[in-house]
Amino acid sequence: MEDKELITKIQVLKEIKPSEDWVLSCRGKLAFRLEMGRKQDLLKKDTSTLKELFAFLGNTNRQPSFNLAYSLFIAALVVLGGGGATVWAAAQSLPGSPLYPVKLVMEKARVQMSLSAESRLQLQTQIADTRLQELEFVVNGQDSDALKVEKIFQVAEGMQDQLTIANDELPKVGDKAEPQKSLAVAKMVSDKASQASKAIIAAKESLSSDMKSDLTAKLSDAVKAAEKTGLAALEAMIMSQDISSTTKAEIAVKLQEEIKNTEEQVLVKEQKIAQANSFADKLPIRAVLINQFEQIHDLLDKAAESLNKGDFSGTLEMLKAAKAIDDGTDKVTENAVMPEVKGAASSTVDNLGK
Amino acid sequence: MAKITEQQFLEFYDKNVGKIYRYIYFRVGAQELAQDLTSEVFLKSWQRLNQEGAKIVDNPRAFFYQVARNLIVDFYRQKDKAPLSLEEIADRTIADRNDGPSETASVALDMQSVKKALMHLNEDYREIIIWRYLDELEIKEIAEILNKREGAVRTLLSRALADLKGILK
Repeated sequence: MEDKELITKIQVLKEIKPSEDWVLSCRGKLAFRLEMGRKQDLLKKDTSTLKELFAFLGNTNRQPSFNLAYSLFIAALVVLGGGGATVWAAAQSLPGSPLYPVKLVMEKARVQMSLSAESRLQLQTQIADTRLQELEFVVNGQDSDALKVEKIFQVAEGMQDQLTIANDELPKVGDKAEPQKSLAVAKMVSDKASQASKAIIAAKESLSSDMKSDLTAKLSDAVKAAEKTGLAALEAMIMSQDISSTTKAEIAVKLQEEIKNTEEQVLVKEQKIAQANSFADKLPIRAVLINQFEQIHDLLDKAAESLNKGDFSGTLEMLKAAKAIDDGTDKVTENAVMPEVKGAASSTVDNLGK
Repeated sequence: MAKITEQQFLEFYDKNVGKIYRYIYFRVGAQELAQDLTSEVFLKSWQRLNQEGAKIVDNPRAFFYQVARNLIVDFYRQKDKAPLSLEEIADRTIADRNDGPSETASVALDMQSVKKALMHLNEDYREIIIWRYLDELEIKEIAEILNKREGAVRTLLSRALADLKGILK
């Protein structure tokens, strides 16, 4: 027998493989253990976490013995990393708590362990609900504005992560699964993205004006992620096969809302430009901005026309183009309404041209 | 190779879990046990790669197989059992559960003859054939696992094939 023939016979044994279910399940558990291990290391090194837990010791007013027992319990869980109890404690934590980052990691691991894109997206929307509840809790809480800003930002960051992941998962939903299920999931994601965007903006509005400006820059990324995911979900809905007339009506309403929101955003910027003092050095930027705003209005008008004709795909394309230009005008608008900054005007105009 | 990141580690898992599992399966002969030990291999490997003062691993595959070998030895030592021979493994049904009855029989027959032949080989020859022709390890990787020179590994492999050929005749 030739060596080649013998090797071919041996290689029949390559048929022996582990089951796919076990491979995925094992991977999920491994990923979870790696994440938990990393977070435990971070918590162990973070002495301020333990200081916070034991802060009551420095308090001259005597705390009830329950507080001592509770804090010791939490510290023991954190440092020693006991399985189920740590998981439970982290799952109950709220923004601002030392265990809140652990909660976010655990949620991510749960999503990773899901076997299909649809179940991952469903989990993501449930987690998005949790974020919305946490945001409401923070906004309605009794904390100072400064503390609220930090907590709102923490929740918004978590939302941004989830929405970005949900956005990446959306194209996979329609690949093999039943179209109706895919459509339902896309609808859920679209609704959650819209709720997230409104909730973040509302949370910002609840703060005093000096705090609002601190939060605006931080939250803009989260709001953009929500808008991007919302559009991607809308696209997934439009691309679905055999959608009912009810769903078509829902899609039309969502598209109409998006057109209206974008119009309002542009109007706010136009008003800012109109109300700000006209510094001579800012004229070039303003001219470019005005031109871009006109382009956006034109695209939104075309989007509305397409929508009236029932061309959802065409409407979405116009809307995406309008939003892309609008995104580029945010920072430039802020710059255009600020007092003179030497050299900024010409460099900003140069950048717009690129 | 620089210290491995979590992402790289999981990518390594995706590419190599089947091979590690198969190697362990041929050594222990039971599916669930092979699954448990395979999970253990990856967990232990990660712990060792990330502990303080850990050396950089030049060849991750060789490293993982070394961990697997050690775990199998520990397992038998703890259980006070002799390793299963491939004769015992050969007697068990191995084909995929999802196969129909005719596919199961066909696959099992093909495998049976090779397994029985492998069974008659000594453990060193058996191991090296699994690594080279099933797991497709390079000669230098096998040399690293066995702590031998590459020339010695080639000689071992050549003798293993010759023996196997003789048995299958």
